[in-house]
Amino acid sequence: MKASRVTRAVAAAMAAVAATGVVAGALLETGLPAPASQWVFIAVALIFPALGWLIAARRPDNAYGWLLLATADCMGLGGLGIGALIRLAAGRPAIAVPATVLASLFAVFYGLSWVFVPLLFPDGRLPSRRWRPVAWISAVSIGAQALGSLFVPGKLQEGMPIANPLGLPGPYGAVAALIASLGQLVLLIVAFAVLGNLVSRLRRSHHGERGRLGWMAAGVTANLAGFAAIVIFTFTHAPGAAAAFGVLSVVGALPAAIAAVVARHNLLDIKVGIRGSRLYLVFDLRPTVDELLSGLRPALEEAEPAEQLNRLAQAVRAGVDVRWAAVELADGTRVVAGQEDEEAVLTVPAGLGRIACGPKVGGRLTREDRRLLGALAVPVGLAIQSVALAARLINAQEAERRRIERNIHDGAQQQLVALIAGLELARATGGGADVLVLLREQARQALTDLRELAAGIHPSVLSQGGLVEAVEERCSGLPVTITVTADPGLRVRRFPDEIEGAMYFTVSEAVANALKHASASRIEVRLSLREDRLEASVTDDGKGFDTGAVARRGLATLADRMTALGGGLELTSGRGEGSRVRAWVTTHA
Amino acid sequence: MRAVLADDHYLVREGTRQLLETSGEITVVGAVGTADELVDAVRRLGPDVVVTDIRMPGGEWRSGFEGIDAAHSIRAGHPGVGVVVLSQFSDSLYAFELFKHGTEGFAYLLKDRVGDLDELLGAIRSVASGGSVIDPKVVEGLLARRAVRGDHDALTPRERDVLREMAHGRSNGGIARALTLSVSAVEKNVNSIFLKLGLENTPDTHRRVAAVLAYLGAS
Repeated sequence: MKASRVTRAVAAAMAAVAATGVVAGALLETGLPAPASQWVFIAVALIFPALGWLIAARRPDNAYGWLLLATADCMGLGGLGIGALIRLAAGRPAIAVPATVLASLFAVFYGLSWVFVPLLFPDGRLPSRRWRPVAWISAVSIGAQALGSLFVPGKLQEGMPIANPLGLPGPYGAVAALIASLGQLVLLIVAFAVLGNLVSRLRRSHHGERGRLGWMAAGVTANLAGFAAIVIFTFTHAPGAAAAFGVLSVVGALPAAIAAVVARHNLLDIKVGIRGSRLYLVFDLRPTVDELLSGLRPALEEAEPAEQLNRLAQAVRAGVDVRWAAVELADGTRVVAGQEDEEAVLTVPAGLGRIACGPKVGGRLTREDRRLLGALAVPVGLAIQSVALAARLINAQEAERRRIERNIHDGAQQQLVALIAGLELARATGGGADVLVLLREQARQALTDLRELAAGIHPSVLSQGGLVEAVEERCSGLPVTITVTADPGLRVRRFPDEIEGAMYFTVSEAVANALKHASASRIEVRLSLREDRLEASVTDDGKGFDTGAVARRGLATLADRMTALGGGLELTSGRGEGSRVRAWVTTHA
Repeated sequence: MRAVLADDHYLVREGTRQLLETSGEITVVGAVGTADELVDAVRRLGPDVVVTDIRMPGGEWRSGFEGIDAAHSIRAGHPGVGVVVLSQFSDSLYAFELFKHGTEGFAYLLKDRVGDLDELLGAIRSVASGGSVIDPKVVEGLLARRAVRGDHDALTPRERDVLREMAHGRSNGGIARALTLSVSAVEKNVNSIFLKLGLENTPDTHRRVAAVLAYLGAS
């Protein structure tokens, strides 16, 4: 999904609020001119809103960007509140109260960065449904801590000029402090649980995931260590360097980790590149459907059908960015790209087969991925179809060879054996002229059978005289009334061998079917050429048949042959209505 | 001798029948067209010998192996009946299929042997007395196959001729007549063949066929 103008504007506004809060709060805290350390702090703190803006604007459907923006806003506004309390609040209740409210947002910032930023990484969703109660407990704890800290009496931090203007007296204040502390304690515990989960996922993860989880675990660890440093500093008044480390870790470690993952592991399709001396960001690494298909076209045009499946599987894997992708044929044959070491997470139908995908390299399958798969299913379906067609043609060719072999063995060979036996008998018995006449007839019969067999393989009249001649020859001498009509001019036209062969055998098979099965009394054969469309039709007045119920056997093979030539074959019939076979092909003169 | 013929091709069946009867040595008591009819005819007529086509479509037999399967069935039920299988195939595959349980009483001949009555009668006599015969052309094919695989036997052309005749189930005397050699020359060649092929020499022609076949079939 592309960002709309509204979402982009919202993201920019949220980032601007956070950035303004960070800068203004920091400068209020120290006053101008600010020391260098404060500028460092500002620079590090600005990573957060920048990253949030980048992701939210580019991938508005990914909740993670919005989470980062919200976290950055809490950080910026909380910082602004603290700065205002330090510099402006003394003696001005109109500033002190809203500043205190803003400062309480810092508690929300901690809660979000300890729990939700690592937990929802990288796609804005929980690792599993089991984490739901944890998320709820955390949300309640964040609210408790923020709300409680609003009403804790006394100074918010050491060095504040005023006490909390909203601080409650006596036992109420103690309750508020208890609620705030409890909230923070729970959040800390959950933070360690989330860190533990990250580490255990890291240990179970494989190559692609390891880098991302490792960076995030390191970021969370640094963040928590930073918080510990701040706490220790507050109690022990340790030197400023430790405090500076703590603050920088708290505001910078997580965004740094996320930025590293985005840059190094191509997460969220945002990548940092260096061209010459310039650093630049690349967005939308994911190819569009159009790019993917036009990129595939030359590869598919050159490849054999089986190789096409292989390339398509690779394109699916690369395009959808999954660990493995498979193209499955209807007969169960699979072509797999990548290492299929996990269960398929998604299968989509593609023509007569389907596409199966393993898990994504990063994150989960998005709507965009599904759209891409849907688009790829079209060429995959076509490739599956052509592979099936090629297989059927090869099988048909094999079957035809076996049929011819049987015919030769059982026909011509046997006749020659009989002839040899007869000759030996004549030799042994001194057979007379009548025996020899009989044997000559046997030899002639064998010759006739061989001639018919050869014509069945490829009639010589087809190669010598062309399609019309061969069809007329095939139809002559049949025991029914049969007429062959051909467009004038067609008689002298010659076509490529494969077209003449396919047309001839289609007519031959259709005529044979009409004779054998339909008990037709009249058969009409028509050959026509309109522009470059060559068409043959065979119509009979036989008993017809139900086209749905009868396996088309021989004609099915011929239909495949016509399809392979870019033509087609159509059969129309019904009980008692005769039948009609129409075959056509486009010739390129 | 009483014989039953089986061939699904009418002209072949009739031609063979007339040819065999011409010899005066054989009475054809039955001529049938399928493996089922053949097994039935053997049970009913109790012939001394069967001459059958290798392939006769129909029945519950393995397609293309009807003649061979019927031959095994006949030898199992009637051990005294010799079976000559006539085949269109010179591939050794079919010959080994026929001889897979033993060679005794079986002959594997190519069909064009019907053009040589003496040859055919020789094979029939041989199987009727429990001997066995392999068509020389099949042996030729097996030798060629061994050469392709790189097994050179270093047999002389004369020894190859003698080997083929041995496979044909001939005695030394028979080989001598067929090749127009002296019996002592044949004996010398036979000894040399057995020595070269590492086979145990035996005067029993039937066991000689089995030995040659086993040698040729070993890869």
